[in-house]
Amino acid sequence: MRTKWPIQSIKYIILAMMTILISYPILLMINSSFKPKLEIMMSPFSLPKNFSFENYRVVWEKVNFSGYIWNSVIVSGVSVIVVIFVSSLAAYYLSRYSFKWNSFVLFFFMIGLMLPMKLAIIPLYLLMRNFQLLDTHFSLIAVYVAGGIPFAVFLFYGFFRTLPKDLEQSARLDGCNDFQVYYKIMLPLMKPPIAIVGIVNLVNVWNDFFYPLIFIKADELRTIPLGMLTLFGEYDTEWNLLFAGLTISSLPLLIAFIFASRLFIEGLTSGALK
Amino acid sequence: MKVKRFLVWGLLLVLSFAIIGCSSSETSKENTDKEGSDAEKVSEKVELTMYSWRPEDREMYEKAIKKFQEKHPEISIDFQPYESTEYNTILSNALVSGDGPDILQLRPYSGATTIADNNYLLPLDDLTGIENINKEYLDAAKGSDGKVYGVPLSLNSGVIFYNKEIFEKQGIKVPKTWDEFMTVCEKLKKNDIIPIAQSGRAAYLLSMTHAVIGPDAYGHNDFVDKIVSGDANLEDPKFVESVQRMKDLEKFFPKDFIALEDNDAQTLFYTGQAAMYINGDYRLATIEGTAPDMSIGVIPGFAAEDGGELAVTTWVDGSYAAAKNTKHPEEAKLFMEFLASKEFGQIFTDESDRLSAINGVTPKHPIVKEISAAAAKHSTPYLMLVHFGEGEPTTKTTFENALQGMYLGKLTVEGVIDEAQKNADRAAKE
Amino acid sequence: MPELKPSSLIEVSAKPARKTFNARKHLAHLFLLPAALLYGTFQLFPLITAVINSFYSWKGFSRDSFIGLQNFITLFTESPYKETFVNAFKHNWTFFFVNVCSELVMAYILALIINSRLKGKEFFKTIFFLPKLLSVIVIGFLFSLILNPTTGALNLFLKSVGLDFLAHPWLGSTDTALITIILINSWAGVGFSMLIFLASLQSIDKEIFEAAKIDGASTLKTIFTITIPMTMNAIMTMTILTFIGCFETFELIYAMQGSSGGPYYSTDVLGTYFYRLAFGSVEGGQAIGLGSAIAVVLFLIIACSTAILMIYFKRKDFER
Repeated sequence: MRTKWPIQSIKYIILAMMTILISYPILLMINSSFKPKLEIMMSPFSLPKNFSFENYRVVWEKVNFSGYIWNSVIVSGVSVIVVIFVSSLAAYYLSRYSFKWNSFVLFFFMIGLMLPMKLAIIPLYLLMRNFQLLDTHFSLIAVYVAGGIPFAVFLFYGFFRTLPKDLEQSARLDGCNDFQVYYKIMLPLMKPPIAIVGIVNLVNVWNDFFYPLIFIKADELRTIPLGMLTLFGEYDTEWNLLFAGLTISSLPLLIAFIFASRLFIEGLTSGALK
Repeated sequence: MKVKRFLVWGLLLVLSFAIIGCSSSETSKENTDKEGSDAEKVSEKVELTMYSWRPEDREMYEKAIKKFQEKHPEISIDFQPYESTEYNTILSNALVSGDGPDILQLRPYSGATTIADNNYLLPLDDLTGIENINKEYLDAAKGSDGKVYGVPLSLNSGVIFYNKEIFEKQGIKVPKTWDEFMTVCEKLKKNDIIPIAQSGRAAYLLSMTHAVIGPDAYGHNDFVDKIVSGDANLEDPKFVESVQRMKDLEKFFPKDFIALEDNDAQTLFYTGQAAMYINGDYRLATIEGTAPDMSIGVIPGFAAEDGGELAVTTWVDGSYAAAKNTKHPEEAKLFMEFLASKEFGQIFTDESDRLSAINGVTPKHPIVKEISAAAAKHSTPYLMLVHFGEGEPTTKTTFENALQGMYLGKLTVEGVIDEAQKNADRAAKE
Repeated sequence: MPELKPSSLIEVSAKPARKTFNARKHLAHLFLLPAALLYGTFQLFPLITAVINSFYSWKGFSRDSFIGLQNFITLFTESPYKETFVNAFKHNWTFFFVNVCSELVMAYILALIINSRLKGKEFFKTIFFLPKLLSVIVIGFLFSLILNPTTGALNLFLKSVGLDFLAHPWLGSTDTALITIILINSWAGVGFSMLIFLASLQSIDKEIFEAAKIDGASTLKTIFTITIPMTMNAIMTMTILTFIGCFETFELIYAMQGSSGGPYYSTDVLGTYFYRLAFGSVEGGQAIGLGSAIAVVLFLIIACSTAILMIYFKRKDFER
């Protein structure tokens, strides 16, 4: 034990330094959101003299955050669930059936990982117009789902291949049909990759401002990042308001993650991406 | 199992904003009020959508639109501003797809020409009120066919703001010529005041400064005319001199100014650490809004010799155009007429403290008045914006990025000229 | 384009299912249908249209005439396009190499530490992951403030501890801007990579380490001879994902340094270059054809390099 303690303390020092480095900007944001503008400029490091929700009140009044948050919840919730569902089905198909075109199909999905989607924005916009999806949440959900599929298929596929065959063989002998095998046997085993696909997509969708900017015009359909852009445009020097707005826009994910991190990390570390 | 997890996630999300929501229950009332008035609008006959890249002007437009509706209650205008940096992308997409706005703000000069040439706009040559706008301002909104496609909104001018208090304390007389200006800068620097609050992280602010101090070096409109006729190019020694002056100013800029944002530069100016600040006159409202107690003056431009006439750098900022495939061309034209009227010009000037492009509008603000009077006597265009805004990349962009390179020691003055002229040659062929 | 064998991506021990269920097979295609349909319509189709666009000349926003490879030729032979391309291309590589060192190596070290005997594992795991949840707008704004040369926390901190000489205009100098942006990118991503590595580390059979200990191998030796080879799959996956991410990188640079990748193109990458050409700068120029050509080149680079990386890792796999 005596020989171990220097190593242990080095470990803790590294971790402590990383903790400061990583949490400082986030704490700065939250801390500054409680200060008036002048205090942010004069004493940027101190704790606020008195915790006031004034900035939040003003920002909430000026920007329609409650609507934006609700829109973000709907769009990201639906997108994530759909991505997980359709991708796991496709990955199951690819890993469990030996059709000749399987490697081609997998390659077909992989292309999406490699092409920058921004390239396609003008054709995509025209497509949405032709489907009359512009200015609807469906347009966003459709691109997010389509954009999330390649990574999800890639991950689920790798996961399925590590599962032993015997399970489903016996289920089939018990008379389950293919979908039942997927639904009853495979799906319950998929916690870990679902956690990863879920969080990665949730983060991407929640924070994306590019597609809403182009597809959404009606104010009542806007998502949080768009609301933030409005805020930056109109109050570019009102740092106190910006900090409050940034905190509001980040808080839902931060809180959700802190509560759910155990679930997520457990899922992740219980063997996905072996 | 999975469903359960997502229920938990969803619940947490809902919970987390419910917490935020609680802190502001009183504001929700106002929101519902707003929705109420929106609903009334829908019941009216025609709604026109209007795009702009200036979200900060919302209040001014709301006032103007109200005025317009006094005469035309059947037309309502939905003002939709976007972030300036994203505006082009959004507008391109909207226009290409054919369901763009009815009324749109055009970037000046080549920006407007591109859109007009793609046949997206209604020609406005016959619009009532268009005759009330100077011909050279209309150049900012013309297609290659020579037709007018936009109503110019504002006339911007590049100016040097100065802190009156500092000038008085230091016993400095407001400089009228370049040489006097340099003497003033020397003196300020000696007394540990940053002479010019320049920032360079956004490169366009460097070409803005060049637009303000450059014309005196290259000889104002004579040189501009030669550029237009093709008798001179950027390698002209006079133009080289203007870039050399930019280089000479470097020692009067703040330390590490290439890393500073415009906000930082403004802060230096507000806090009295810097004595002067160069930007468009549209920053006046920002400055007065942030530092209402500050006493500021303006140097609109330089004179060739003492006692000579000041030359003010001016350009049209943006103009409004009507989209070709609007469903309500009549109503759109009515609104365009309003935008071209003195009445709107006056509202614009009074609300935003900027110059209107419409003749006969007199600004109330004394500083705006001063700039306006000087510009009426002698003005010169923002050379890079007006005549070098074409090509991809534009020569203006190339030029200002090269200036950044010069201040970072990557390019010499000649190097800047070289990059800019090469790009101008290429853009001409495009 | 070399044939990709995606099935080699992930270690495969089991052979594909035998042809026992032939009758069900037609129905099985239904599994693929929703994903293929959604992805095909809303991603692949617009992407292919965009690729086709790269073979046309453009007048502003409208497609003009078919010009074959002319856009590509212009891109690689004419000034300033070729210089800008080379410059941006180099930055993408720098982005990749520095990011591997600063994010992946750091993440691996952290994963090793957290995987050892330690208190507060859950706390560290949660904290390290948090930045990944922030939007690029938020990250850009926060770091612009922190790195401000005069009022920023970093330089003030350096000055207050007497390290004045280290204070630097981080984002405003051509020497440091790119590295700074990459480090910010790593800041946001290190937690995620760490969790992936951790997952992989935890799946190693503990008995192997016991055996190594009995053999008297040092910790460092164990890491290099056992831990790293045993987690090669995770390392490979993360390297490939990082590679793709680094070549597609755009938003952080755009949010912090503008579409020109300032100062003086020192943070310009293919992503920002593409954006400028396709959507123009504020002044308005637009070259959709050239922009699309860049994106196609970008795709080819990513696809080829990913294939090479996969083959390389696959070979390593066989060696052990």
